[in-house]
Amino acid sequence: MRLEILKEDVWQCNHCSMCSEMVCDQAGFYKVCPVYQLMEFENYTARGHNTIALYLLEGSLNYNRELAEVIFKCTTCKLCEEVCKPMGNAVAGLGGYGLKSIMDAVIKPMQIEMKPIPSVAIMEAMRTDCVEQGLEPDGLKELAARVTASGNIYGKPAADRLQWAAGLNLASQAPTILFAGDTAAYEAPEVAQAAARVLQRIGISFSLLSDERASGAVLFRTGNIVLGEKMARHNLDLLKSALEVICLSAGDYYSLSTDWPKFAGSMPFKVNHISMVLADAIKDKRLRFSKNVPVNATYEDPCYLGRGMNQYADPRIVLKAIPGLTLTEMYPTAHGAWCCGNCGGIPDSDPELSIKLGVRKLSLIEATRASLVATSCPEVKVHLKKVFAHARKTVEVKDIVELAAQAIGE
Amino acid sequence: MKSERIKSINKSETEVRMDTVASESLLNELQGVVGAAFVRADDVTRFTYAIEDFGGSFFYPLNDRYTAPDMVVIPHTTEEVSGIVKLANKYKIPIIARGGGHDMTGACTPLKGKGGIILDMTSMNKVLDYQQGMNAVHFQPGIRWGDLEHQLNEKGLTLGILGPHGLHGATLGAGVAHNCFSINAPKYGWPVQNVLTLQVVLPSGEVIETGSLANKDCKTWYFRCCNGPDMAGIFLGSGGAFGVITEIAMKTYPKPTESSTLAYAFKNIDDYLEFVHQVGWQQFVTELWGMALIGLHPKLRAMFISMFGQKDLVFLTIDGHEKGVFKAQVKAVKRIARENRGELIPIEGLMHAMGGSVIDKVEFAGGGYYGAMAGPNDNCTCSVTPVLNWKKVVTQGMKVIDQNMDALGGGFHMMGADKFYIFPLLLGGGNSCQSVVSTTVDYCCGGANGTKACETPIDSDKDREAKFNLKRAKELYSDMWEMYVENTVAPYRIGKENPSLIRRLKPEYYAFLKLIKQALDPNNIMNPGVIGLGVTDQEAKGLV
Repeated sequence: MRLEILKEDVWQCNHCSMCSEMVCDQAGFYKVCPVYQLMEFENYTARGHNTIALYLLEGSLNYNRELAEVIFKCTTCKLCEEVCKPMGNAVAGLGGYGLKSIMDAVIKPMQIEMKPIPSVAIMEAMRTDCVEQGLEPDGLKELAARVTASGNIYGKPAADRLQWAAGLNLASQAPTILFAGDTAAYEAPEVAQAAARVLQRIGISFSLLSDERASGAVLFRTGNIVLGEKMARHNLDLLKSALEVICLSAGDYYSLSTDWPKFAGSMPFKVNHISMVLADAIKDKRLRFSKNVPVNATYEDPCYLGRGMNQYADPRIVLKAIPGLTLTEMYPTAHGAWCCGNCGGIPDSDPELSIKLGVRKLSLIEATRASLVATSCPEVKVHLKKVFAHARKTVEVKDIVELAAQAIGE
Repeated sequence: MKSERIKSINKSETEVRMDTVASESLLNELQGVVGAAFVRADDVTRFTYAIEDFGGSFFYPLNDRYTAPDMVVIPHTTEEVSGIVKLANKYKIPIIARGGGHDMTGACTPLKGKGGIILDMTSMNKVLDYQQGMNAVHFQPGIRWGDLEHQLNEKGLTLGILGPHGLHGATLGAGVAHNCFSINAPKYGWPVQNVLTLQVVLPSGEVIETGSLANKDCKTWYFRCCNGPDMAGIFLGSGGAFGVITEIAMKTYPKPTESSTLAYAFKNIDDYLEFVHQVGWQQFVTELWGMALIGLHPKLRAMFISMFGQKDLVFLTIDGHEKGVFKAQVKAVKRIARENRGELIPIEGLMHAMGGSVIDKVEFAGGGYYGAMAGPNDNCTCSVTPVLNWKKVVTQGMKVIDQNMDALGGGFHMMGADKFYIFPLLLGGGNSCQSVVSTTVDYCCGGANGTKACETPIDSDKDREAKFNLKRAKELYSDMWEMYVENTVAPYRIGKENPSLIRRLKPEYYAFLKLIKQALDPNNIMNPGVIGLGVTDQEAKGLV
């Protein structure tokens, strides 16, 4: 069992259940596990998963379809781990998110490590065990078949991947690579095009991979690490001469930063998310916005950019720099933000649940009275558009790079 | 009825299931009450609910006393709870109401040989009403402490008490049913003291309301002390032995607008205790933590001495909504500290500048905190004693630990202590405090309890050593309780883990408890084993 690797972590869990459900306004948390909110049984929470893991290790439970049904419902949004961060909530209560964000850096020199129980990793290890036994949901088997056949999660022709870049006059080879990812390439080309235009305006010379394939992010999240690694290694071969990779997708950024190094060692290039590149350019005045974008917007934190990579500030720097744009935050937000239902392979394994989770988030969006939801991940954009269409809402969704492109007059 | 009786069949060492036919019949009937989506009897669900907070891991369900439930049911209304209880009577199957699942004394886990239905109350989580005048809130028991406080704060109110250990995910219903302690109890009192009225589903399935709600014309006025005896009191702290609480009304208070955090160091332990006693007795403080050197593991003690010198420390918060009163309270606390030779530790300004407080309002820890500090297993002897008795108790506790030091495992790794215990003094309302000892032992990964979690082969030397250590730790735990009850310490909850405590109760008192149990629950279906009720001595030990 792959789960054996994490047995010490499984035993460290105190089963206090704060990862299931709690409210702590001082620390910015209002409810925790999004799936639990809909399913009601504790099986679907991190504590539930950790308990299941405990009994799997102990021998009272075995992998079967019943167990897989539970394990594959998790969105892997990491809110459970955020709540679990030792003393982190007290720190946030005292000094806000800023203080909490720098806590790790402050205590590391003191040789103190206060990590949360890696509940998502424990759950993903169980998913891997399930995949090895063929127990994953049919939707994920179909996803794997599409990736195997076409190299992307949508099963679209590989030859169409770079269609979005037609006419953009990009460099054929540059040390900086724009890793557009499957969704921006096939489902949200406007995001990739906007990113290219803004990067050109900043003066960053970049090129695209001629045969980019899926990063493997959703495969790693859903336990198919064999296929995920295969995709990643293909991309790594193409990235041999790269010095910097800029990702548009939060999931890709997380995967390149944390999944790929697990089997390939540290990356020979710097990995950035587009929001970081834009924020840096704004800070050192390489990027200036001249056009007014008069809109009341709220910001949807992609789970794997925020909780996954601790990037909360940069997208907001971009939004706040856009003239005319008013940013109204949801509550909860940032560390405590609710998952919109797009993570963890849920759109493939349980599309209905994925939409329900998005609809649940609508109440938070509507409370801001924003007419536009900004995000910094094309997958989140595509998912939210589906959710709004399902709920017959007219809220607009845009990636921050689209807003940035608008504000530079492109 | 005998033919309908559920047969408990030992399918394995850890598993007790109902007779198949009876089980299916009960499942069908339960689904008729709550809907098919809210009844589950699959192994994954059963074992997910076979857990409590590991803070008291000796009750660990895989040990020789506990088992997974036969099924888990989620009710959403009082009528559904009533229907479930009636079915439990019909099938003579135990029923265990469970909130956040934090109890550390086995109170929400079935006894082996008994099994039962876990009633997951967390979906009954709505605020029902605010009493006119806003000094009471009426809600369902599955609401979490943090959620209720959030909703009250939006109206400028507070419950005052914020739940046990900042566990904002614990539920109010389980809190009052099991008599939990709470943050801010020094000012606002214990949770059960704040209860005004209850709605309870009795073991028969009938529904009663207590206090002012006993009057059939009263709908929205919540007052405890009227219409005869204090009936709410029977159910508070009873651990679900006498019924299932389905609605609660509790006191509310104006939300504080003023808050201050103070810290003092005392060179003399008696001065320290006198200060704590006075500020607690006069209810000047909202919350208080004391850290006396005599209650610490030597390595922790050394660390504290290096930081603060040979002194005992007190951290406290004061809050209020009326500026003048608040200022007067702060002044009074400072005066009492001076009179008892307390040295002010200047953190007040820093805390104020940071907009918070050390110990009020914040959640103390994420769950990982416990594992990081105390190792995977620890056990707390949570209890109450008068403040002025605390020094004697801790001194005696140290003697018990000294005799059993080898039983301690785990460790406060973060601070380099290879073994860990601590007796913090938490002022828990009025004139009482908590004494906590953490008897940690790394038995889980050593394969004790028959676990297969580690590579250690069962019955290997290492496995035997782990089991031996576990046995010693249990002995230490028991010895500590024996010492406690001999020294004016009381457990504020008993659960199913401490038959030795029940043995120490006065026979007349315990006979009276049994009488109530027999009158209310002749079939012994309500959480058998809690406070030792509803089971034989053998059953209480899981030996049936």
